[in-house]
Amino acid sequence: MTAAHLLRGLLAAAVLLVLALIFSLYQQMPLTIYLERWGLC
Amino acid sequence: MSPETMHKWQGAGVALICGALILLVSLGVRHGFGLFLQPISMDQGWGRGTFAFAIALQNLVWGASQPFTGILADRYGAKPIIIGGAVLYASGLWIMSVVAGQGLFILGAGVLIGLGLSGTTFPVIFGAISRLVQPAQRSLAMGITMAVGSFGQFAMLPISLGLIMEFDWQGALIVLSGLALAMIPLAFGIRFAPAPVANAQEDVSFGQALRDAFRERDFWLLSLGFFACGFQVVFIAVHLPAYLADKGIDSGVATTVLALIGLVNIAGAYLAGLWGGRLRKPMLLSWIYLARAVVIAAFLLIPISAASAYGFGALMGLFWLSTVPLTNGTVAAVFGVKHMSMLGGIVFFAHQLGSFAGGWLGGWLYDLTGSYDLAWSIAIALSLVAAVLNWPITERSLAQRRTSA
Repeated sequence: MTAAHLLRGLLAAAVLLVLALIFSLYQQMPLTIYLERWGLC
Repeated sequence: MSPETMHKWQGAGVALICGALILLVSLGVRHGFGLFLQPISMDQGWGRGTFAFAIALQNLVWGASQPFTGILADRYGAKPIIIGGAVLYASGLWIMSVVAGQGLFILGAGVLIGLGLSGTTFPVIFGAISRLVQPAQRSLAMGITMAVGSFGQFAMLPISLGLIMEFDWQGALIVLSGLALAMIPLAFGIRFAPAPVANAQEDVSFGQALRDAFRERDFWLLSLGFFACGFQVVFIAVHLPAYLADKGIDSGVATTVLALIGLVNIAGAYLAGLWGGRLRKPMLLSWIYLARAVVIAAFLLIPISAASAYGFGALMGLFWLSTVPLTNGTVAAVFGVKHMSMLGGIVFFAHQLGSFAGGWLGGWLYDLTGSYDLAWSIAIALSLVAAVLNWPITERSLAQRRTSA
């Protein structure tokens, strides 16, 4: 495994971690506000 | 990245990163607007109609002005258009934060932000980036940019909510206004390049390009297909939580389903760009619209549960904004990149008309019939029509079409 492979793996792990973190934030959003969204695309 | 790939992106890398970040901000900030409905309406003592009207107007202004900002971007380059768009966007957000009257609010949220969006989103960014990369790399470049923009939508919603909780809605809007201004320095990363012209048919005035496009059957088919896309995504984004609540599904499920759509959409947009560079883009569009019809029909036919809703969210996410790089890529392949922002803008206008219909008609039909069944049926029918319409589109350039005619 080269340093480039390791770096790429770490980067992918970091991206997945960030995505998982944001995903978990959605669980804390109050739906009463969420239900009334308009014009999303 | 291999040296060969590095070479392909040389000169376009900075523009790609800056364009992607601009899309992240412009789409991301807009995606959180729904969160402001309740606090603003309550504080100002307005009915919800004012806010809803402003957002509906914003979508229409965005769509209607897109061909015109496209003309300017094609002629003067993306940089001044993005800068102007960012200033309008930030001004609109600032007016939203300080406004006392409904008219001024509608001007800020509806008109200024609508214009700002048209200066800082897909047709302008894609038009600029397409000039900088090789034709074979265009689809992937658009896919990457779109994936980052999709990430913006996914990430900015909880961030906007956090800002509202931390600073109240006025403070949150001022922070977002500052964020919109950050698009100005990013615009300097997108250098202006003269459009590479592959043949005489592409090297025409914008009036001639417009006449050429309107004469092509495929241009209309692509636009009509994009109308279906707009209808579906807005109908689902706006009305799905209410539909799930009607069916007795726990409220937390709807939030997770929308989060799943946003998450998987990032991968969907990237993959569409990647495959669009290897396979026929209109064929991929046909498959996407067909897949949407199947997924929606299956979701309605299978007894509804949290699991079926999650499955629906994940699959719809895959086919969500994946249509955007493919549709714009087809425009570039047929008509070249000299007038791409304008032509992409016209196709996008059809999308926005669909968006308006999806949001509004969904609610209107629900009020009329007491259920979403008819609106879902329209969504499926439009999807099938779009699949059929996109199939015969070819990616042959105008010159090739004229030669074979």
